[in-house]
Amino acid sequence: MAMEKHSKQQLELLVYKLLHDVLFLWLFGTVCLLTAQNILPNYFFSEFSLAKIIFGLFAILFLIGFFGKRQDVSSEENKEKTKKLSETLVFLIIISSALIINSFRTLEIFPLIASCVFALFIFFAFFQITSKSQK
Amino acid sequence: MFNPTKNIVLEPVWQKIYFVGRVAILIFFLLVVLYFLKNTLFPSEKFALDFNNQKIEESLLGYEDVSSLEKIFSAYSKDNFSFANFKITAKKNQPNLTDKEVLLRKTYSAFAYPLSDQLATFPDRTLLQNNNDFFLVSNGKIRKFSSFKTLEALGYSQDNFQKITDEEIGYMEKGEEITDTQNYPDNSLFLIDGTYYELLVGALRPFVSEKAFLSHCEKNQALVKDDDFLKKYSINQDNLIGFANGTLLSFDIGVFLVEEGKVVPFNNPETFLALGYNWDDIISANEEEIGLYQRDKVFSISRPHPSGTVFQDQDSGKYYLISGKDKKEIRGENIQRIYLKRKPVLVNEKSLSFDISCKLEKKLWPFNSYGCQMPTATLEKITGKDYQFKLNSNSTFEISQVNIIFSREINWLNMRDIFSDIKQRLLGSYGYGETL
Repeated sequence: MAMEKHSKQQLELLVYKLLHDVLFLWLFGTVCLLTAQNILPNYFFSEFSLAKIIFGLFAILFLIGFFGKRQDVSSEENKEKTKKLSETLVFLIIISSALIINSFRTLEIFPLIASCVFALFIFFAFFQITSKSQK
Repeated sequence: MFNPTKNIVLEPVWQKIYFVGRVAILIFFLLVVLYFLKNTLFPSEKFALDFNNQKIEESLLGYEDVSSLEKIFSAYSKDNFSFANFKITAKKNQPNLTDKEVLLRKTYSAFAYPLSDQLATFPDRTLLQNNNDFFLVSNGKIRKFSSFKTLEALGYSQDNFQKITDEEIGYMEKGEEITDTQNYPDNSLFLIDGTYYELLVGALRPFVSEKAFLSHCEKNQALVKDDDFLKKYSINQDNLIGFANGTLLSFDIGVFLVEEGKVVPFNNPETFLALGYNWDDIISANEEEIGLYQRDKVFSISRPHPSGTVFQDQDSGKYYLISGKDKKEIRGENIQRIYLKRKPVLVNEKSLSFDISCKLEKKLWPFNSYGCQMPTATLEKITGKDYQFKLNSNSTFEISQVNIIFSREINWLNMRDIFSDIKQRLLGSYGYGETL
């Protein structure tokens, strides 16, 4: 009985680990697809549906949460993840900036200036709020 | 590969399974990427017609029952392909179709209309001069001015007439001579206070605009008259004359085709180009001009060219005019000039012959299904959007379903086309180059 329980625990941990790999590849594929779609509009999404991609992402996240909770690994994982957050953030900022700058290509100069000023204002407000909460 | 859960260590046996699982997931991911790239860069196009559950007119695959023994299926695409797979599923207890020949051609379906015995002639309203004789084309017939004096008495001069050859005059049906110097014959044109009019059954019909007038006629065909002339005839203001059939109009962000008193909006730029039209031929219309017409359903790629379309055979240089469900040859330089106000749609005479064929073979699944594949790369040089498959049978049979799949071979030539397309789109989306 104990043996069976142990095997089940190992199996669930295995699934949990594999799901992380699936999630990584899923996110990697989605980012590549979105980047390609942003550079060449209406060329790639004829084969894929964005709604299905997002639905799949939620399904994977749900399963990871489910198995993580059963094996109580979520809390340990979170500690590890906080350390890596800054590295991930840099990567995300680079990708997001590239996509945002690319999406400005069709804008006229005045809406572009207005968007930039508005974005700076939001960023400044966000910076103020977060620095206050840290103090 | 990046491992987000390396702090969770499994037992050695399970660790091995995990390793195998990761490799399997990675291989699956790579296969999906390859499948995606293949389908995106070398896309196939599928057409199906289900006779049991689908209305033929709603299907993407056109169907024409030429006779009980001959059937034509038309698939519409602007693209070129390497292969076409044809599959037909017959209903139960039907004759065996093995070894029956399926023939294929690529053309424009309007160009494939039967050639009329009659030649295209000068349209109504045209003023013509042949040696010392002067004519007006009225109600489809050529009417001679009885003398030069009659012509002068009506206010015409030699400059209003277009010179034509003896041969061209021979194509026309002759009508009554014009002898009346007090009243103008039908289809006479006038320019009064900046508005063009046509005389029809004793009433003047105004053209909606000068652009509309010029889509039918030349400026010098209209007699200039003063306002007093309007008192002589009633004016039919409710029935304005619009643009000639086949004229391309633009309004707001849409492009329209004038067809039998209606305007047909194009569903996308690809359809416009697939029909062989030219962006330079589009006339910018205003609200009044476009408001004259009722809007028809969108012009999709499956719709044939309308009446008034002129085709030019690139091989022989001959011109053809679409008139209803017939095509008429336009012979004679002066007649051609009248119909070539817009650039003709380029075609190839050889597109009418069914040069590609394959023989049907029995398929394992579904039952009663037969199929074959034919190479279509040679059709690339032929202009057209309608891939027409002809199936001849010695006996009548009932069809359940037809499926046609066009595919592209993965080769350097196709790859080059794809990269060229991507380059064009890339340059277009950043504002360097032509956008569709």
